[in-house]
Amino acid sequence: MDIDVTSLPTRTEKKLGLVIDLDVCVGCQACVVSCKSWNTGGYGAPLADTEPYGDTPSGAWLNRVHSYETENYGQTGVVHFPKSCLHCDDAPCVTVCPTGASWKRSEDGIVLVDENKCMGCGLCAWACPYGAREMFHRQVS
Amino acid sequence: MRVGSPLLDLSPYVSDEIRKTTCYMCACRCGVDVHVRDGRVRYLQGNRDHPVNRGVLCAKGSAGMLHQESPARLRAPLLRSGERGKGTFQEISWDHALGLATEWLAEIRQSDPSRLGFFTGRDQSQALTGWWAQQFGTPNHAAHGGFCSVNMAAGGIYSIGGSFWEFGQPDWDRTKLLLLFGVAEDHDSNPLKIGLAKLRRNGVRIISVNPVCTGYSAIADNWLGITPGSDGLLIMAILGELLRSGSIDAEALRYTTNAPWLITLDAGAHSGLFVRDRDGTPMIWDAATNSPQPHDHPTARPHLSGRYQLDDGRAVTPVFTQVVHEYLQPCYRPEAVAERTGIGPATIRWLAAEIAGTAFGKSEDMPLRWTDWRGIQHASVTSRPVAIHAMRGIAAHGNGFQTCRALHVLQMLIGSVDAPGGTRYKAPYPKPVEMHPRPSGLEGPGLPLQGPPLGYPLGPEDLLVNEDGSPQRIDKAYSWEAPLAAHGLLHMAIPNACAGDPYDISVLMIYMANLAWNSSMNTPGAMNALTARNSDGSYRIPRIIVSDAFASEMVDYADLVLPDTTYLERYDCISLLDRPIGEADHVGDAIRHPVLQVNRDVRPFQDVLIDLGNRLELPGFTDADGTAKWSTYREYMALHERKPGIGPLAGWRGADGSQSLRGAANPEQIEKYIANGGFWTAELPEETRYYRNINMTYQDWAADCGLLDEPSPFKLQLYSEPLRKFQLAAEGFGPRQPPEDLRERIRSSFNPLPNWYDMPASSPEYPYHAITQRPMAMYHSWGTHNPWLRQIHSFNRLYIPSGICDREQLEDDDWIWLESDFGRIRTQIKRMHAVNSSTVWTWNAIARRSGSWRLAPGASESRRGFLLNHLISELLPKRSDAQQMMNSDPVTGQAAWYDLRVQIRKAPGPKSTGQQNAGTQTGLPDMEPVASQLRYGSEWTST
Ligand code: SF4
Ligand code: SF4
Ligand code: SF4
Ligand code: SF4
Repeated sequence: MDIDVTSLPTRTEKKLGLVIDLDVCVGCQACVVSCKSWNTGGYGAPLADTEPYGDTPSGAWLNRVHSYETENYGQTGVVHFPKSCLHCDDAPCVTVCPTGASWKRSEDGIVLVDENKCMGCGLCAWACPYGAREMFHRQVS
Repeated sequence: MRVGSPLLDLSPYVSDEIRKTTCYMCACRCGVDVHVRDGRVRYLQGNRDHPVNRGVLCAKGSAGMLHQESPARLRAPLLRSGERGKGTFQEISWDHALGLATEWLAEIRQSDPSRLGFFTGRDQSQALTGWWAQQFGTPNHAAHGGFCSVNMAAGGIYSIGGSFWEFGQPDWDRTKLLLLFGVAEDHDSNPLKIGLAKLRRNGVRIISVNPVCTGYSAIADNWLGITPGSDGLLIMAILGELLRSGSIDAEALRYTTNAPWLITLDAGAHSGLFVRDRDGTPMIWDAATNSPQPHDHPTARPHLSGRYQLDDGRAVTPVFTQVVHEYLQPCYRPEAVAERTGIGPATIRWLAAEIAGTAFGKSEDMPLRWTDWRGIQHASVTSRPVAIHAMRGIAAHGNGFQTCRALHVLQMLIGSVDAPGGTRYKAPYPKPVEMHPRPSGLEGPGLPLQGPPLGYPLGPEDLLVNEDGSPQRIDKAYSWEAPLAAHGLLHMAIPNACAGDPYDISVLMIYMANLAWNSSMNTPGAMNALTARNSDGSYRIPRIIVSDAFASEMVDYADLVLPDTTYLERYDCISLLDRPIGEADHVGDAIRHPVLQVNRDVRPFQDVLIDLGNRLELPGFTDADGTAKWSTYREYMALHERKPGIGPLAGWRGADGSQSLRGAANPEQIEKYIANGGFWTAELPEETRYYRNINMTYQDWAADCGLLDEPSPFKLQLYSEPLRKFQLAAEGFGPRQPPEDLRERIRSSFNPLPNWYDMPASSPEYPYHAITQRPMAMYHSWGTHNPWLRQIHSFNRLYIPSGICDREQLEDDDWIWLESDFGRIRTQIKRMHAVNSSTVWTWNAIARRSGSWRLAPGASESRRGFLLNHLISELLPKRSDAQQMMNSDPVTGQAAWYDLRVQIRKAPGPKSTGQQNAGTQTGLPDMEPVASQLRYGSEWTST
């Protein structure tokens, strides 16, 4: 099937996504690390890390968990909020992508990046409202 | 422009092989499927068939491949070549290393075996290490339980013959209310997460009592931000409320606990001890015959209250009258405890009502045929659906033992011990305290101990003290300062060895314990003690042998380093003799086995220990003619028999592998474990699953299959006679008397019914409590050199309640001095609401000594990470009589690190924790280069 660059399929047969029950999320970060370990050697490019043993390590992750404090009728508490790609209906990371690398699959609504087309402009990461798309800059030696 | 939809390979090749073993990124013992590709780990996945984690793998477990490829892995045996603590070593051969160790050890074994101190950390081979120490003949052995959670284990064993975590678990399927006390990311890890999710989805209320709202508390229905050290007070207030409203299970108390046992009221040497018949059986007052009868009389109906007179004139009363008297005292009324606990009276009453309403209002009968200890057959079991789980938050206090006991008293009052819906034993528990061994002391030169060095004393007669009352062990376990030190006192080994108090030792052997950093109280003191010298320039601790897999802080202080393998490269045995993987409905054990090849000149410490045992010709390890029984740990696992038919592993025993639990050793046993995914389990028959302490169907089954030596039903101990015996000694009775200066301390802390006492009042200068919580993505020191985990936690801040921030005029990111009466450290802060109003806290085990674990000297763990350990002395401030007591629970010697009190001062100046002035660790020789970039898995990706 052909798709338009920067355009979304008019409809998808299914709308797949990842359901995360915040009511039971304890913020354990298992999903974060497991996702990275599965995907770093799976396809495309590795999810690399700079300064792995250095002063300030940083790397590419496909999801992260953020923790927030809440207040509810005077009761304080903590909410853990895992953020991975939501495969948005109106995915701004797709409509902003100048090369068509960021695309939404019409069969099931999954949003993907075709690394063969990505030029690393970073527009998608900038456009994603959930911080789910990250850029990882690697120095080419 | 239109472009083609890319073709995706949706099922890329994953791995050459899946090897199933047991994770060891923490002590939870989850099953893990290791996807091996080209001899390396491609991916780690939870084993769905495994009884512990049922497929769940945590963040730490998922990052195991980077642990495996850490540049901090030691590469070969090392011998110190410069000053101790400077990290100067030369590589030596294993022959050289083992020859040296043998020489050092053989000499002291022949002169005085107690000159060896052998301490281990988060180790799961205690069945081997303890047995090795026993054969060597040194009483100076312990693992890290005394630093960690011995109060939980000992409080449970002395009360119900079981405990939480390894000995017990909430009945996740049937409970209608779960109470968590002092549980952060402790133990269990994955099973707790699985269970909590189940309860949330079933609409079951979870109440978490913890000064801080983190992980598990965050999803609780109610979080009660208690003030540290006062959990016991809250629990006793609840006990009072339950008694006042009559919300107790009188039948359970009468027939499953020692509530009706008679105690002597008259003053004297027997005051407060049980009344016993001629055979020594404790007695009750039978309502039917109006006479004293043995408690196991099959048809007696024991009174729970009243005061009676025996024929010999003694006045006696059932334990339960004492219970009522104790907890109805005004000091335990909700109004009286509100200030100290930080929990209001209305909340306490609501909590008690929730417990009572659920235990009795939501209980159900479940059809099940079983026979109790009296021979009475039952057609059902009644649920008491209130489950409790507790961990370090209540254990690591100077009153932790009694607090843990109080929780068990709560369970006994409502009859929920091993009831459906309550907290249930994990097989092979329950085992009453009498069934555990007593600690064994030194026999003499060249002789093994008569039993294991660690055990459970039943009275002063079981202490390991000399004629003059002085301690026999280097850590002073089982002395009058820590009588029930069931796990020893790891935190006192180094300070005492340095001080020569109670005596000097010659060799300190440390396995997998980071005592020069996060596994010591008073970290700077430990580092100094390790390098302290005598006036002649020799070291106070003459020789230090360290076995570790990584360049930890401790390795720098070794004279001889015996490099260990990783958990994916060695055999391990998660044994019924030690800390097995049983659950409420099944008994089980597990192994680790090498799923990767070792590519360095390192050896598993268990193999090394067996080699040393052979070289030293220790009894047990060698035959009479000196021939070694086993050359490897693998052989030992399959062939060693502790008792006839009982070995380290319970599955596939007997020559043909057809027997379980008991049976001849089977040389093929390990293959069977590997083929089964690394574990073995056997289901308990349904009618054996509840009230196991008095369930004869269970007792007979357990004796039949070899889990117990013989049926031994027992009553739960509301009132602990061993404690009373220590108290009597403190009151001046009995042949073994405590030193004068400890009498009052023993009298007040050994109450036979749990009581609450506060820690010595701290000076008003230090108004705040300071505690740590375990982060879910990090385990002690192990996680911090893992590039993925350290991106989640690469430094820690001090979380300060908003009220204190306002008072001290602090903003997020400010730097402060955090000061105790012992030391001060610089930290960066963050404001928080969901924390007890007088408590500051931080994540533990993130800070690293600069340069350690092959991290860059300027790593954020060292610049912005800090440990509270630097603020905690292993000794309490001097008393008015100039005595200095250990900063430990007076009953068990558990390190009381959550008793820390601090003050806060704004700190202008450098924005760094300054590595806590610990200096920089220099590199060890010939380590792997440290990569500046990691592209894990790049060879398996398409670009
Ligand atoms: S952090 Fe991720 S893995 Fe952990 S509980 Fe939340 S969603 Fe599940
Ligand atoms: S990357 Fe962000 S914007 Fe794009 S689909 Fe995912 S969540 Fe939506
Ligand atoms: S970074 Fe790549 S995927 Fe993202 S917008 Fe640019 S070209 Fe598209
Ligand atoms: S809880 Fe995590 S680290 Fe611990 S054993 Fe289980 S998977 Fe491994």
